Amino acid sequence: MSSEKRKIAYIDGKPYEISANHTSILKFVKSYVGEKKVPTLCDDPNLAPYGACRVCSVEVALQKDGPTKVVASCHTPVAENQHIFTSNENLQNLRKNIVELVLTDHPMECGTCEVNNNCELQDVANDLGISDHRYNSPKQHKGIPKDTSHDYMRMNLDNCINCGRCVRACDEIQGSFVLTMSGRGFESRITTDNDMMFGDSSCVSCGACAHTCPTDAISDVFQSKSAAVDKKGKNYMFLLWSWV
Amino acid sequence: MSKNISNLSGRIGLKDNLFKKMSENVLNNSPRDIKEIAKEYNLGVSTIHGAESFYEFLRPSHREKKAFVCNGSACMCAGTQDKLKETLKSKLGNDKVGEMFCLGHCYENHAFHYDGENYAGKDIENIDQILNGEVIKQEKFFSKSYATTSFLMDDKLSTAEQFKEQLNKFLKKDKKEIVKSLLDSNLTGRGGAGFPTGMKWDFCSKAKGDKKYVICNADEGDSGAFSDRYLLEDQPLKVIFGMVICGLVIGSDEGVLYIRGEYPKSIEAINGCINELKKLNLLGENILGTDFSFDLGICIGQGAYICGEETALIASIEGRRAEVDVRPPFPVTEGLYKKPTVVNNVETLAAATGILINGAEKFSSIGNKKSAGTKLVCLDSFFNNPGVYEINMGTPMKKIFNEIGGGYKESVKAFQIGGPLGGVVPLKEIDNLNLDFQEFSSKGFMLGHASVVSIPKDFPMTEYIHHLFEFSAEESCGKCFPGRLGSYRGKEMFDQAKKKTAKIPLKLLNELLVTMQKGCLCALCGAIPTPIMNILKYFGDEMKSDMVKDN
Repeated sequence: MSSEKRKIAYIDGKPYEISANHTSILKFVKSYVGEKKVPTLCDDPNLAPYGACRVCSVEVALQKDGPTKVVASCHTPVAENQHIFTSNENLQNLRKNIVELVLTDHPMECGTCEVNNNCELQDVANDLGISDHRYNSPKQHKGIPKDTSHDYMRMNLDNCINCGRCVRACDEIQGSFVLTMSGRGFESRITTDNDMMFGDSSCVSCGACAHTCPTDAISDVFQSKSAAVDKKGKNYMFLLWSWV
Repeated sequence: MSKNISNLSGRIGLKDNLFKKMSENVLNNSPRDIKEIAKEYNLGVSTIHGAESFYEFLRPSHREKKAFVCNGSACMCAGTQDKLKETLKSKLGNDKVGEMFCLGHCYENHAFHYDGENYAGKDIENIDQILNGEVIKQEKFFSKSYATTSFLMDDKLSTAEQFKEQLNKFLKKDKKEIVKSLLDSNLTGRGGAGFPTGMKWDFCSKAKGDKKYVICNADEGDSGAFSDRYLLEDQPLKVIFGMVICGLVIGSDEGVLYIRGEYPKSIEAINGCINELKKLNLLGENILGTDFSFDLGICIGQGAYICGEETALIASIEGRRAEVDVRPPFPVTEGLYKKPTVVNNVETLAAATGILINGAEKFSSIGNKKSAGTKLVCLDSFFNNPGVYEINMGTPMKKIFNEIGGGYKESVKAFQIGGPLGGVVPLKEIDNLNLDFQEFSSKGFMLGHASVVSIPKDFPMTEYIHHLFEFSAEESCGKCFPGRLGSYRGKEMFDQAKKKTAKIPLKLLNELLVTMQKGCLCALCGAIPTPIMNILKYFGDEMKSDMVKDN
């Protein structure tokens, strides 16, 4: 038993105890008030905090009624006596505006998309009540040919939101360096090796990229991310992946 | 942030760092297959490819060109670049002239880069000699100290002999005393974030690590600023001395200066100094017969403004894509190759040297606790006396502009102070400001590097905002969503306004700015709204016809 004093932080006014596995505000909040309280897109609990999507932003005050600051909860440590606010008008507007920006460069063809009803972007957008954007003729990356060269994996970068989860899974989980982001800024995009086709790349078919991808940008020939596919088969696929 | 890449790249380390290896390979006439490099470092081909593709200078589209016209804010406001571009195109061919962001010649403009050298001012008149490979006589920037005590511009450390004398003195000093001096001086980081330098060194000295590093951030990309360039070229020993003493204090035996490739003369000056000091055993193994060893190298930036951000800079050296990392961990505990690292700006290191030589009290007695000592201020070509000046913190801006700068050559309406991320201060507000970090921030501006770009009266502010969005869209690392997408959408809005194809939706613009300000991962896309909001506040009337009310 630990002799250390219990440490408390507050979520939306209520006190909760900080434990050793609460390595970020996000983990702290999720463990007490549920997975969906704070939306996320680039976060995967199996990967190191990355801080790209910013939709997990929360407000934090260092004392009760103190001035608040917006921070990304996924990479901000939780600290004693912190007052964390998971939702208010400013935060919702921030999240909506970010997701709106994501939708400016997204095909918006959910109805015909393989991962319809099993898509993290769709979920987050729906929860925030965002279905469209207000920007005038934004340049899009639409029309990138689907890469079907791989025996098992499928890449459809039109649906990519540049969250970098696949790149990190390839590196952090599989220890391969097959996937990378290339280019810079608005022109950055996912690629394999030295801009190889997926099937010609050094990919070892572990499936970690497809598993973590929040959209349909990377999937597999078994359509295992499709909400329509038999659940049993889907679990079987994930089991297989964990063996590779 | 990839720990795997950091650690694998760290096995080979700084001397043969992956960034240098990959950039030299790309720029080589007969490059090796990147598979070979990947194999040497035990990394993937994708690692090398992903990083290479990040840098402007390593792209084929850049390397095909021969000359590069400066597209920094100061040259843009001076209106000298269109004609310059035409002249260069007529000499070299239409497709042979590209652009580079700020070559640090804001005091004379007409700046361009050709064959590894920068030219500006009247140099273009000698274009034929330049193209013939002849060395032409170039004018230098004007520099002068107006400070009570000069810490940055004096000649107390301008020879290797003086360097040796001072080093001898400090090698015998208690390290704690050195840290105390810095703490007492109230020196804060001059790179923009303003963290107390003494605290940074203290944290790093206490951090556990079998290896530690000192990095000098010489990636001065802020348009309007040439103060780091001044120090690197005219006071290189002050910068290097600061790094050596930092190494001594934190227990590091290796450091690196990350100098932007847009500054060839700075690279040359520092390189010359390092070689000289090595010969004299003032750098290297067992310096002056003591058990302290400290080696120093240079990394040459390849055209990415974001590398001025410390975590991106570290990523760059390691050979990762120069994307901003989350903090914590902070570099003082987990920096280069995951080892404790001090990253200091050029001026911070030179100021630390000045403080150690002249005494902390003299520094802290100038200005106030949060804005102490002296600061280099750069004035652009709109001033009658353009140049770089050392000035007491707390000095009224009016005095700096009218007396030191000698007033303006032509009518100006505003100044962007502190680089592209600094505030846009209208002329009338200058009377109410002093050279003080907090004072600038409290009025909604940002002193930053204290560089001044003048915006002439007839320069359309819509165009200036377009320039700022274009800059952030071009230079955004692309990692965070609001930064990558927001800066690009902002640019598009002003593209459309410029072409008169659509008006700017004011409400959406304001929402976008707040989203970027609150949401972005770092100060590039997170601070670009500051000058834009300033312009909307002070010059909104001027832009009315470009705007439309949306709901």
